[in-house]
Amino acid sequence: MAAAAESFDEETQDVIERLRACVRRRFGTATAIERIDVATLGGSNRTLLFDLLRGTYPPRQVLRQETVPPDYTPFLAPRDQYAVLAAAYAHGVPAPEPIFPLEAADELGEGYITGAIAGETLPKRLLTDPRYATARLRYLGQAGAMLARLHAIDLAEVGVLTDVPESDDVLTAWRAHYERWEEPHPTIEYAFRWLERERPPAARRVLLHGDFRNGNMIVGEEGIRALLDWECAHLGDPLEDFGWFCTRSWRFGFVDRPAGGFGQREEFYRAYEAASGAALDRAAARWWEIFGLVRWALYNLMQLYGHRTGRRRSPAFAACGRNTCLIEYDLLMTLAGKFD
Amino acid sequence: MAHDQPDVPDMVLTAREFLADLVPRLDGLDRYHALCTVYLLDIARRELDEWTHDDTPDDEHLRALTGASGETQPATVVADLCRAIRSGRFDADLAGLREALLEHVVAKVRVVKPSVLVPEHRSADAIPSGETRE
Repeated sequence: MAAAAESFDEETQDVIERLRACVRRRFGTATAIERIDVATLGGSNRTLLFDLLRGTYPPRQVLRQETVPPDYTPFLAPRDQYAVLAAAYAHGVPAPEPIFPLEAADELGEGYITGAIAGETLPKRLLTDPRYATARLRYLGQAGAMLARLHAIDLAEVGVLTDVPESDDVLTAWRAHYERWEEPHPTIEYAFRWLERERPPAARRVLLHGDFRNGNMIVGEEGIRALLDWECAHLGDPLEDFGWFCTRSWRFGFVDRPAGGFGQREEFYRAYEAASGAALDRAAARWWEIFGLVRWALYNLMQLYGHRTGRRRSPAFAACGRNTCLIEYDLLMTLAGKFD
Repeated sequence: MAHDQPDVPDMVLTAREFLADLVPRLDGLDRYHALCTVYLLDIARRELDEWTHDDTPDDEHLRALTGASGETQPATVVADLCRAIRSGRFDADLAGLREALLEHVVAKVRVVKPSVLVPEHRSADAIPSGETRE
């Protein structure tokens, strides 16, 4: 639903003015933006949707701006996100069309503009609304095939990811994030210890989406339309994307359907294996689900850090701090074999 | 006990900040009641400064795990326990450590969101009827 510009707060109105100048700088002074919506309450980005009126070009566009301060964000710089998105898009991974990255002259901070894709992202709605019954049946097959296509991209095409700490050693990188956020948690320490001692041997090294889960795909009634949110992309073991997708937190209450709340792991694994020709190690995948729980707990500590240090105080980020124990509970119950 | 951050004074302050920001966008009775709530939260914050907490079974449990004395503050015990785990002190019995930590985490969850606990971890009076999901 479009809103009148004057209904936005002062900060958003300022962003809209800069956005208008940004598109005119590239496409001419006759270019207009209309039907502006603020699309997200997201924890790390501001997302604006708008119609870009210039000739016959498909008008609906998205501005995505980073909002986590760079001194403690674990996320890929937006310019690098854009490069990875462009590579994935070029290889036919369903994703928003990359239009252009922001530049310093735009005075909009770090971010980029992509084409907009209509559809639903809210996980609970996707898991329960009768409108998405067909999409639900297709979801795991499509998700498996999509990952196979992404993981097959030549790493030389995403050279921006080579120096990302997660690409070097993901466990070491996350321990460093944990240290930075200054919140000692015995359960997280125990889980790191367990992960270090039980780590399976590395499999292939591929381009990982890094945040591949229910909620980060735009879905229509017919199935998945686009994969979003490229800020966690890095290089690593293909099982990392599977472990994150099946992490208990991303089942949205449907805990007996480990694959994103949609169904069983095996359907998801087999779709990938059929599309890629590569076999997945089921036992090692469990390690990556445990790692996923630790990582999700740590994202909550990141938001708490922003709140406690006064950089981004908000009730939502304060709640993240206290919700960390809910993930710790899932973690310990899973490691005890009481949760699957 | 050694609850996670934010602590109670910070949670009260967070609610106060949010309401104070909201006040200019409210009218009439809503505005008046929001201002009164800010006033009440300011009183609550000042009164919290006078509070002291008795040790809980969880505090004793964590002290026993680390061998800390009875005077050691819960936050210090938690930090010491983290260092001990990292140093490998519990490596010989990680399953035993996991069970001990589960007890600690259950104590935290009983306050944050008791409805997610499996029945064996719930206490009879642990689930307030007005619990809301964040």
